[in-house]
Parts: sequence; structure tokens; C-alpha cells
Amino acid sequence: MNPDRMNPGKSAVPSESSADDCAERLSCLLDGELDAEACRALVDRLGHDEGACRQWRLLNCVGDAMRSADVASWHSERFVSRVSAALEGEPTVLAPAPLPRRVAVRRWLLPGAGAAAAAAVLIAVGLPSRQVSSPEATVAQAPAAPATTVAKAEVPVQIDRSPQLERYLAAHRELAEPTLMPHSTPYVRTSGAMLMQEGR
Amino acid sequence: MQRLVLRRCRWIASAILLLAFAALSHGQERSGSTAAADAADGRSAEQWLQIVQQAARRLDYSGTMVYQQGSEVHMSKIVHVFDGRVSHERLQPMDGQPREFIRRADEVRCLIPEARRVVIERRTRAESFPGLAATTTTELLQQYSVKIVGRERDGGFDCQVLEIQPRQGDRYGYRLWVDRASGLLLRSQTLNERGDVLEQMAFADVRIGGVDREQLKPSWPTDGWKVYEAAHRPVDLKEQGWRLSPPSGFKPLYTVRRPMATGHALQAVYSDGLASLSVFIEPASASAATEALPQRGPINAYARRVGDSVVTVVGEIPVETARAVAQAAERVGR
Repeated sequence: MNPDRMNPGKSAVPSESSADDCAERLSCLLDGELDAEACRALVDRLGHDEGACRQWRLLNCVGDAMRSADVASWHSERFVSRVSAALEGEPTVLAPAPLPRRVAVRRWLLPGAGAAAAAAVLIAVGLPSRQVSSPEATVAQAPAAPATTVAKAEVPVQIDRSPQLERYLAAHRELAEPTLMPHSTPYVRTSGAMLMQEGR
Repeated sequence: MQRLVLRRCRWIASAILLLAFAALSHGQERSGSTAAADAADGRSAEQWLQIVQQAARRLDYSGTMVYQQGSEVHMSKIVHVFDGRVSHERLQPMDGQPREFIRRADEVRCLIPEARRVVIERRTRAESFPGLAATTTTELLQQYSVKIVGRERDGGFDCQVLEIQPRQGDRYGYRLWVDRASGLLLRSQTLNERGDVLEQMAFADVRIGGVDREQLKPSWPTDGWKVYEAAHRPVDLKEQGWRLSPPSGFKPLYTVRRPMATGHALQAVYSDGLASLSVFIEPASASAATEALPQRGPINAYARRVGDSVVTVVGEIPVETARAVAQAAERVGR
């Protein structure tokens, strides 16, 4: 805890909050159960409280793991800070558009973030990467080679691990017919992990 | 035990990678003598392709299918039997949650033991099934060029190595290892335009012929399990007020109206004989959230809003192709 950063009596996040309390609030934030003011205060806190940030990442990772083990990823602190530093130092070729309204409730990462990111497709939202201004979401493919360097990143892209598109993949797999391999081949790709999520 | 299996998987993955690299350099070395190899054998690359298509349907075989994409490796046991009319298959993934996929002709039963549930996925197409693939070899050759790049031993089998290159850059290429005796495809790599392996499937411990039918039976008694059936209603895309323009050679396989988690969607499935793609069309409100997909090697997706609908393209195609298909989607005469 860092006492000089506390500001008793002002924010909705109690200054004396224990780590547990902070976790509790972050969890509420994730579930959308905080009111606007408490939300703002907590987001402010995330901006400078490293412990809270770590907690936040952990909670997100737990959430991801619960949704699907395939998409959960946890990066070492050093890795994250190195990526952040590299990103800071990287000249942005294309100016990113202003952040969408839901500031900070996003998970940011870079393409080519290694093996962990291999399980996730990167989605560039609201940031013009190849096309300029269109109301479109690109679900770009993460580079297959883990050797891709961080410096190649053009713009930060967002990983949104919504199971929504996994369902598209499952639905596609169901009707796609391999012609050279046995017909069940598409199921090999998924190990049936998505069946339960379909909830059918 | 689990860790041991994991370590083994990793070992196999690296072995496969090594093999892939070896094959790559080997293939390049050999490509000069293609014509000679071709003539010596008496079978053209095109003929091999036909043989592969037939063998996958008509042979009885069992083995382990190793799927590798990036650092990810999945293994599944597979049994395939052709009874003279239709083919039967059982696929058992060896990692993740216990599951089984049992196929008879165009119906797949997905067994989920912990939920005591069977999900039936049925493909309903007007044309008879099985038979030749929707796309004939001749049609396939309009989109791809096929050549014999070598002859190698793979998994203990004497294999013909084929390379399939797209004539245009809007789809992926493939490298195939085919058992020369049976025509069974033993290894398949999907390649991007730089020749990087995006995903790989390989058969291990293959047994051709003499498959016991008992092996097709599910591992669990499914009496009393809940049965869910995916309900797809064939529809006419034009009547629904849509026109889609997939890349040349992609023929429509199915156009259905189907339930998705968020409501109903139109799904149009296309295939060029090797790659396939699906276009999903839904009311925009049903999927207002941003969407993403875990990366699966060559599989890409692209979503675009058209009026009050969202068009999502998913397939084993480069992202540029997925984007082009999404952008070409348009509303017609309504």
C-alpha cells in the first residue's frame, strides 16, 4: 500500500481498503455492478496502483479461464512491462482514433505476443489499421511464428475473448466438409471445447 | 501423468516441426526434377489428387490424428469404415474434456459425457451423399495447380509428396503426403503465400483395412442422455434479400437458417474443394458487442455491419479474403 496516494473521504473507493476489498470492487467492476462514480474512482486507481492492476489482470485471466481454457493467458510481469515499454518507444504510423467510451475496461495486448497469444485472434476495433474509416471490426490473424518481434506492431490491438465468434467457428466447422481428409477432421481443431458453450 | 503426456505432445510437436522444415528444404531441392518423378511414376499429380479424395471416403482405417498449429498440439483417435454405401467414423479427442464424435454419413453425434448429452449435427444437402466431393478435380484445378514434389517415407509409409498452389493469392496452399500404396492422405500442411506452415494434420499409428466395427461404438452407454438436435432450415439467399460474392471457385454447399446463441442467423457455406468459408448474417442487435475468435492456424474471421445486419465471414482463408467477402455482401431487391 502506498499511503501518500490515498485520498480519504473523497472517492467511492475507501482509502483504507484492504487488498481483499479492492479485489471485491474490481470484481464488481467486471460484472458491471458499480455505479458510475465508483467506477471512475476505481479506474483512476488502476491508473496508478500497480497492485490493483495486477489484481485486475488476474481477475480477467480467471474469467477467461472459466469461459474457455483455450483463451486464457497469463503473462509474466516482466513481459508485460517490456511490451509496454516497447510500445511507448514505438512511433505510431497511423494515429489511433480516440478510445471508445468504455475507457480502461479493455484488455490491451500486442500482436505476436508469443505462445500465449497464439490461442487468441487479435481484433482491431475502432483503430484504423488497413482500412481507414469504416464501421468494421477486423479479426486479424495473429502471426503464426512466435519469433515475430514486438517492434512490428503497427497499432495496439485489442483482444476481446468474447465466446461469440467461437460459436461462429463451431457453426462453420459443423457444415464445412474437408474433401481430402476424413469428414470429422474439423473437429480435431477444436477438441469439442466449444460444444458446451453452445448450450444447445 | 498429465505432465508426461504434455511433455510428449511437445516433443512430438517439435519433431513435427523439424520434419516440416526438413520436408520444406527437401521439397525445394527436388522441385527441379518434378517432371522426371512424374513420368517415372506414371501417375500425374491430378490423378493423385483424385486417388486421395476417393481413399479418404472408401478405405477402412484407424489411427491417431495429430493436429498441430503453432505451439498447440491436439491428438485424436480416429476410426473410419466404409460399408459400401456410406462412411462411418469415430473421433475421440485425447486432450481436453472427454468427447466423442460419431459420424454416420452426414450425421454427427457429439457425445458430452459430463452433461449426459448428445448433440446431433446433421448436414442436409439436396445432392446425394457420399459420392464425389461437391467440387470435381477439374474444377479444383481451375483454382489450384498441383505438382509432385517428391517421394518420402512418412510414418513408415512410402509417400508421394504433392504441392497444391493457389493460382491466386486469395487462398492458401497445401502440401500433402500420400501413401503410394493406398492413396490415403497421411499428412497435410496448410501454407501461406510465404510457405509458412499455418497448420498441420498428420496420421500416426495408421492401420489400413481390417478395422473392427466394434471400434465405431461410443465409449459410454448413452441411454437416458439428453439429445439435442441442431435445427437448420434450408433457405434461399436471394429470397432473404442478400447477395454474396465469394471468390471464384467457391461453390455454395449449404444456405440455412439456424439458431445461434444470440438468436437466428443465416449461414451460407462455400467450398472450393479444399478451403471452405461461412458467411453469417444476423440482426445487428444480436451481436452488437465486438467479436473475436481464438486463432486457429489458417482460420480467419471478419465482421462488418450492413444496414441493420452484421455480416461475419469465417473460414480457412486469408484475412484479406474474409474481408473482401464481407465487403461484397449486399442487400438486394426488397
